[in-house]
Amino acid sequence: MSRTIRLLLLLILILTGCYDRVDLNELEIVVGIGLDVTEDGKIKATVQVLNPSSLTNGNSDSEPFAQIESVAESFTEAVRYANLYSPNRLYYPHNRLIIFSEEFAKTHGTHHVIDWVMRTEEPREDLFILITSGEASDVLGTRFPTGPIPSFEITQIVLTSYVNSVSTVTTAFNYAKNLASNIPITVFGRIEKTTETNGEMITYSGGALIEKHHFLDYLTETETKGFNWLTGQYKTGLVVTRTKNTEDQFTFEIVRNNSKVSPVLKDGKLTFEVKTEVSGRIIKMKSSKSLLDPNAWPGYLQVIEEGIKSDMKAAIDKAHTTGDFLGLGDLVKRKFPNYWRDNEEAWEKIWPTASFTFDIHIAIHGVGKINRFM
Amino acid sequence: MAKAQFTNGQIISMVAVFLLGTTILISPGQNLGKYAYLSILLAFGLFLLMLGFYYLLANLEPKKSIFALNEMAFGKILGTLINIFYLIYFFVLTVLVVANFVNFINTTILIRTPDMVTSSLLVAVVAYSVRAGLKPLAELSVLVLILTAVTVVSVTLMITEIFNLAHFLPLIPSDWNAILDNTFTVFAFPFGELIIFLGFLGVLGKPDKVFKNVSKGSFLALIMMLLVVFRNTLVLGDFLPMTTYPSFETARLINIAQVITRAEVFIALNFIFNGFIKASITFYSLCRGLKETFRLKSYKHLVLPIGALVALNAHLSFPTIIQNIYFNVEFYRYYAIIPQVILVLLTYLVLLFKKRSAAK
Amino acid sequence: MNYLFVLVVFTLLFLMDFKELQQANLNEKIVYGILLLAALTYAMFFEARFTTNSIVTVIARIVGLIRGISLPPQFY
Repeated sequence: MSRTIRLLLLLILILTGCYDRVDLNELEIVVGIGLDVTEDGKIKATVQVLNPSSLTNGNSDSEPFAQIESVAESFTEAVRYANLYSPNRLYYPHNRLIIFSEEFAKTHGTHHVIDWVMRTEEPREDLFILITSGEASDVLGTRFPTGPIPSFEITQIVLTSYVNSVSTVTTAFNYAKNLASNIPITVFGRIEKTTETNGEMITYSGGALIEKHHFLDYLTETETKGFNWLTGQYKTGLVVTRTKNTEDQFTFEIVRNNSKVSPVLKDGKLTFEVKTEVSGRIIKMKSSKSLLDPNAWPGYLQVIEEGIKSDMKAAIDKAHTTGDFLGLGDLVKRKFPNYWRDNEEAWEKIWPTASFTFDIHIAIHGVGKINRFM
Repeated sequence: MAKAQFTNGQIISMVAVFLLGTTILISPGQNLGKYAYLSILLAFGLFLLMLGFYYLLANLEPKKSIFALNEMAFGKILGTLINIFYLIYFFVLTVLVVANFVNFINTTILIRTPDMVTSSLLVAVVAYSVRAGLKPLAELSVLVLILTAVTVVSVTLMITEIFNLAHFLPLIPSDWNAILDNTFTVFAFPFGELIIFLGFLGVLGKPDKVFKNVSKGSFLALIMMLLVVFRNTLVLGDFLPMTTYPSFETARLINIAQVITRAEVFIALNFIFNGFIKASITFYSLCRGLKETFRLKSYKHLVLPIGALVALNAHLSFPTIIQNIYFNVEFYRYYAIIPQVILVLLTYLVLLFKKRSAAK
Repeated sequence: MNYLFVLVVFTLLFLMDFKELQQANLNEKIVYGILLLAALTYAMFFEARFTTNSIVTVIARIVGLIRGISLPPQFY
């Protein structure tokens, strides 16, 4: 008796899993979402899904991915209605990116999309959010010579952008955290598609400013570099400059760096101290005769420092015109909570008057495998 | 049953797992964000004070549970009434644990499964294990504690990449009132809930040995709780108060080279084990209380109908997490303070007075 | 569907109890019967939408009454 009951109980426990099953071949795996605005102001969601059969067979008569477009009044409807055009259920956990068109970010705002990402259980919180000035569906549909699935290639571009640090990587979680800590402006990565004579091209550089929910402005490459320096997100990159006396072009590669902005309060006056430590190596020199001259080295350091400083200054100048996207308010709020409480209201007026001091320390720790040439 | 010997490790891990139970998901003092640890530490201080009183109470009459003590102190009729009050509290506690559990499963893992199925399955398993007594639970809790410790530490190690120390600034909170207010909440849930153990202290062994292990277990729980809270703050920062399940959210952000992702399932598993042990312990204590109050021979027959009641109540308790948080902050602590502190102190004082006058 | 499922689970548990219950004394049988009936009535009430209160909501209401907080019925 008891044994039968136990067996039945066990069966109940095991078999209940089957009643709500979803098989893998009944899922349409979403790898990217593009959001545009139609001419009559509705939302157009483009959902990129995988077509695994074409990947496995290796035949080229069907594309390895498909794009489903659906138009609706709201974002969630648009994403849900994409199911109307797909034979299988759309499955979002493997989605790696959401591309907003500039128009979408201007008219509909970006925050409600992130609310959906953070609230529901399917999308990942660490997906990348990007902005394009053209059509997001166009960018998403770009065919790459290096790989069959555009979304994967774009993800790869975003992941390898640390090489140059001229663009920024923002995830949904970063954006949500900024909104939570009252950082007014978030910088999104900017992706652009250009059509040239030999085919389509994707560039991922610069950034786009989103003020709370809506699109504000674009950042140039230099400004983005400065933004990365000032927020400690700079990874590796180049400084192309000329030697002081001989005007010879040379390239300095930044290998390691540590950069930090800290607010200083002295007699009620606020200043920002930028402390940067850079170590790197020379990777190219047009004329390397001066390398052996000890007196030339201070000049090297000086021009590299100026190069980095000009990037930072470009970003600060931009922030003066657009608003504080460097998170300076947050730094002050954390370091001087009392000062912040008194001056929070007038912060937009106060911070542009604060001056910046730069303390940039450069170390050249290598000149490469050759020391003199030409 | 009473013959079963409990080792030190078993008692320690039972206490630790009980305290960590639901806390592993629902961070105590969550709405304080980065200052949660302060209220946890303050609440723990309060808890140690209460633990001292529990010890004194248990030392008056070793081998007797709180139910027997109540009857001794207040006489048969008043004692039974107080015991029924305690039983209702234990019942509510069981319901709360199961309700938390069901809520979690329904928001994050099994969205379309009716919550009645989740709650009745959990209750069926809990009821089944409670029928077998406390000893197997104690043995299992050792395993669960090790599992929990491994998960907490490994999730922490995997997420160090995105730690940001600036999330703790400013170090000195500006609003001490909120922290004291939260201390009250954190004391009521989870620390004060340890009153459950007074329901079956006699089973565990001599008070001296038991209380030594209980305090060790609670220190262990405190350390793990602080580790979880620090880790969540370092990762989530100002976003922490906005999340429903901070630990779950933190584990979702784990991404090592696009390969090791989706580690949140470990947190879920952890919670399922911890919730199971916690529910079983409260359930066991409830059944023993019923047995002692109504002078039954065995509690085993009570398991099923109480289980059904728990499952139904849990199903009806909280439609969403919002009601759960609201209940914890606005109602639960005012209610729980009565059995957790006031009645215990009262019983102790009355018993002490009776003993003194008897000695004269 | 899910009530059927729940019913099956508890019937099985009841069958497990049954053997031991036969040996129990009157007092135990009474407590058992009261609790089981309470559970069943409660389940039926709930099914018939006669009540949607759980012990937790009842406590919330009592404490709310004392503290002067009134809860809208749709909240719970």
